[in-house]
Amino acid sequence: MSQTNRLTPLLALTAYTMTTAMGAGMQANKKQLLAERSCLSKEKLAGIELDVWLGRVAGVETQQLPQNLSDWISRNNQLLELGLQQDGFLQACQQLLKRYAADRVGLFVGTSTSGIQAAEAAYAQCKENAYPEFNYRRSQNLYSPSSYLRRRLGIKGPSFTISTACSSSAKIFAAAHRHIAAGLCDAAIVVGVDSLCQMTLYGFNSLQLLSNQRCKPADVDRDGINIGEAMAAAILEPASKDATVCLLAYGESSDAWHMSTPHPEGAGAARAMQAALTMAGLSAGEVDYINLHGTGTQANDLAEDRAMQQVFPQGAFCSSTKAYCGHTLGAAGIVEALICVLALENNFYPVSLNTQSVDPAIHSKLVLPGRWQIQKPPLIAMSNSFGFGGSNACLLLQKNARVKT
Amino acid sequence: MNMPELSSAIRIRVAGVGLIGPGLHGWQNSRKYLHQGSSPEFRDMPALIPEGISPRERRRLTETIKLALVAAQDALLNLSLPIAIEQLSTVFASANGDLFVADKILSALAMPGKPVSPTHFHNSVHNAPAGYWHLASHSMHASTSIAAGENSFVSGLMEAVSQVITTAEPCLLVVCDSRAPENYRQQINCDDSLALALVLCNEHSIAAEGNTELLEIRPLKAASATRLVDNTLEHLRQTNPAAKGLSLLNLLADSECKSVVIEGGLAAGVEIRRVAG
Repeated sequence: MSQTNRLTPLLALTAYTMTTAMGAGMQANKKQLLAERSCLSKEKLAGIELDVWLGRVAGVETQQLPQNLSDWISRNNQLLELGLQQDGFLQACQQLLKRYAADRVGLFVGTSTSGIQAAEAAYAQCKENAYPEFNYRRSQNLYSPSSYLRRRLGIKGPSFTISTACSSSAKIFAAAHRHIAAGLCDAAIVVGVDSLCQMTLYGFNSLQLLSNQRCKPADVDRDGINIGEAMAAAILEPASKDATVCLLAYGESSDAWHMSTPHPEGAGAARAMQAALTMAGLSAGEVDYINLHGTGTQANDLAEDRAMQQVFPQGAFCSSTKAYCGHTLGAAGIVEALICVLALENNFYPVSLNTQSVDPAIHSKLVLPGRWQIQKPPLIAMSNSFGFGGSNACLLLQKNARVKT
Repeated sequence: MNMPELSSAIRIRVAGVGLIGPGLHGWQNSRKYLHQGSSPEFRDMPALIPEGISPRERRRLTETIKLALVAAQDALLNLSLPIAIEQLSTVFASANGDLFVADKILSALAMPGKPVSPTHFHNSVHNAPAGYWHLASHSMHASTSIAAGENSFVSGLMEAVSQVITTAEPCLLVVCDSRAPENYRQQINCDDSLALALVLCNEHSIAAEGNTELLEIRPLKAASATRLVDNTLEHLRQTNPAAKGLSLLNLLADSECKSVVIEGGLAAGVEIRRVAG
């Protein structure tokens, strides 16, 4: 099925950045991961009266947009702008556009709720028999962050937003790979951005999926998720000899089971993982580390564990990093792909933070906090992302990938 | 018209077409309007009854979800190739998604206690129609849901095309946009809902006797969209983002029509040309 894909060049991540509750930029995130520190907080956010932990990014509210784009204001575009300014990513995009024609650079953005927070504020202030006053296209509309970035960066190639709930920004890597493989563009910028809003918090609350404590992935006492916000981005280009980290493969599937609960045996999740391995031509034993979707709900963690047993019957080191910065929903796919990149580049295994007493029903080889001793530097990492509607995506990343020249 | 070429052309086969809109009750019933350039006599929407979903689940579906599902099943009604429904990967594209359900949630959030309905919440994800389609069709293949504003049709088409090219597997494309709810009418000038669907296949994967259309898609650096002859359909094309695809359906309906230009998506747009074979 994926033979054609393997003929296309490997894609190197030539620049990348992430901004989460752990901090702005790769270094800040790396520091918290190595320190095994949860950055969730109970600080209140306007309009949200729930007693929950949030993975909130500092400085979003005060982030200015460039003057010519000031009417694109929304919490989501502010977070996007804040993230762009870290790790020299803006400059890296400008350099990219010197190497490639603007219409040969693709832009693929993942988000679940875009700038709906602007609509929430407008609805709350709306008087009877009046229309809510806000700029729909530049805030709530799902294409808003893509449209903002096209203007901000001057990209003219293929561009769209993928919105498949919590797998959104894993699937942007697949779309970018396909567009490059099909000759529709030569390089791509992939971006995940999702910001705290009432819609997701009260929505997940209505499904009784929010935890009142810090989330405890795979723990016997796990009782739900914490919501976070994040922006993360990467540049993908055909890999040269000196590429440090490459996108090796991806796998996608549908559960065809239920709108908001995963397949109990993890059938769809297993299929996505297996598809990624098949595309890469790897056996399960060659994967060193897996960043689990690991939301901390009863159903997700159990179903994912079942899927892991099917794909990795010999076991493989894995962890959930949701307790560091919360579940960043549409941004989680790329955030966790970049956590894998940090692990590969810095030779560490991110621990499953806040997993204290592993559920006896869960058999995965979890990398537990405080007890970890490195045995082998990770070379190949996998990242899992599963979303509502049964949307599954899995990415495989490799350090120092061999490139045929 | 001189259209500068951006990159090499891509070939794709169309094995099935679906269309649901005002007065457009399925592709077989409505292709005559696109062929003759005439308006449908009535502007009513057909009854939207998605198959493969239990009556209990069906009650939870929104009009937008039903519209997308029914257009998709219409495309599978007259397939020119034997393609198993559970083998299809899918691409769903929509500029505005389900604003009726967003409007309900936003209204609930403005009320004391913020009583968001769990059903509304899970229906609000952009991939809700895709999720229900895969539930109904039992397809465990990949599915992507995209949004690209006015470019949503071409963007969805190119994502589906890139899937077909890289996997050599068929792909179902569903493009759907609903009329704007009251609270959005000042900002979105769209009074009619429309969904269209295409089953796309690899150029080489088809037996010669298959009654498929072979198309060639070429990105354009500058594009001037092909207009539809009929005023009613042209108005629909200009106001509903999904209806941008009616130009391609016009090409498929009318053997005299050799090529169409659709704005947006790649650079400035695409030219789609019928190719013999």
